[in-house]
Amino acid sequence: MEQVYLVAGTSVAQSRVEALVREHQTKLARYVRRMVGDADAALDIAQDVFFSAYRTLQKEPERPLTAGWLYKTATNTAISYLRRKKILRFMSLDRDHDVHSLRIDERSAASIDLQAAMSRLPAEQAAAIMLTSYAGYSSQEAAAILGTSADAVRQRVCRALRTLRAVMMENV
Amino acid sequence: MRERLHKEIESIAGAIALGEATDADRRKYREHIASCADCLSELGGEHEIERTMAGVAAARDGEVWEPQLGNVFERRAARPSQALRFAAAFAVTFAGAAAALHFFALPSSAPVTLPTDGTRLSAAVTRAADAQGTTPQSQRRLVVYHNVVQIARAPVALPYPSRPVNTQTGAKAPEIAAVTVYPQFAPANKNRAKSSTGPDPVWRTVSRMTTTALTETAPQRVSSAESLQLGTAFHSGTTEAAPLGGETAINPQPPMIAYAEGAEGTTVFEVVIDEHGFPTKCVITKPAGYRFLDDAVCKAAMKARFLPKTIEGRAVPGVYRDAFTFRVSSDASGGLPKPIH
Repeated sequence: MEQVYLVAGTSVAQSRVEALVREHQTKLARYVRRMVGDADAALDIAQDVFFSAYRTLQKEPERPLTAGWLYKTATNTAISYLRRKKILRFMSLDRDHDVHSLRIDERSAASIDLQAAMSRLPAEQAAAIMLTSYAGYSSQEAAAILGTSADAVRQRVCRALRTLRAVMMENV
Repeated sequence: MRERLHKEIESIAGAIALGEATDADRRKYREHIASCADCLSELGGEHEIERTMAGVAAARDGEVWEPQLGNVFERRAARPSQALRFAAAFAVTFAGAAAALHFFALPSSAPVTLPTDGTRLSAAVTRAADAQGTTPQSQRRLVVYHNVVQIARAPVALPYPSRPVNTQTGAKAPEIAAVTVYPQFAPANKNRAKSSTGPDPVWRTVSRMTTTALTETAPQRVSSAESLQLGTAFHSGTTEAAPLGGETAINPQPPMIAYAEGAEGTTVFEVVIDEHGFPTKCVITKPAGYRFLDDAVCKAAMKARFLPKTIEGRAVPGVYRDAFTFRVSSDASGGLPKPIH
């Protein structure tokens, strides 16, 4: 009896995760890539996010998993990745995971400016501005994802904006 | 009190950035920046905020990365341990050194001297992408070389003669090392050999694996002129740093005193471009003789954005070299010198 339930739960979870992957993989991976500045790491993190969604659904097949849940998990994973990377960079072991992996077709001035600013931002500000302007959430929704208030999200966006503007204006 | 006010203003600025601000918010923000110089200089007015956000939106809309995740139903192989990563870093270093040795051991091709008659071969990357996308040969793997002209523009007083270009194509060479040349940016030249590599009239592919892609010899009278001539060697998988937006991206604006002095001269300069495409340093390698002309050129160069130098698709710091010649023009505008493009 239990086996039957497990099999059924697994297949339901699989189909739901497949739908989530189809719908969100591009936007989520782009969002993560901007956060961590590295396409390979972004793919890894996105993969991790969908895998943990799958594990969660295996345990509780009825649990509603929204895009917000995915972004929340992705943001947390990306932030912990950034912290780990900072330590690794400090130890100067991590030579090949640097911030250079933008693809050649995306080297527009805007893209370069944004990435240069992102690499200087604290992770909270980066998450705030990416969730709102890249993922398209309002400040309330982003606040729910980040676990703060909408006002705090707007303040973080404003502080990120300062850095971004400084980067854009840098050599003018 | 001031702290709290600024938190509120930050919140309002964030709301403006996200398009969530009410009219009252906007009015309050306007009133605040009218009296707070710090906020005005750091954040700017509402339009400044919106313009900055438009930059983010432009970056978002310009994304073309379409990632495809693999099987998400299995845990990925665990990341290699730190000891392994350390070893991997060493391996990468040694592989890089070996590649560099190999690279330098290769017979270097003859440097390509590009024309200096004001026509630049620099093709904007977007245009390059367009040409690739619309041609039937787009399935070919091409390394598109950004033909940065590291050469002075010839002074206007010396009309540059058209010169023959010898083109030799190697059909058997691997296509990976192909060089794309854009005839629409090349000087009009009747003598240039017709391309035989493809039917497409807009661009053609010249491989350098068998022989030199383009060879031309500069006439004597121009090398005696003030123009700098540097060869651009085409290296496999390497693109040099180049200004974004083509040849007009660097636009020096000499100060008024240049007009009064009737200053003339050629400034040769180098800009150090970091791996993100930002100019970090500008060095005058040959001054024009007037400090303000050099300063105008460096100022303009530091304002521009660049494509970073890439080696095998990876951006690295590089150097962009160029020159500007200022001449007093003889037209009726009172002898005002103009930067020559």
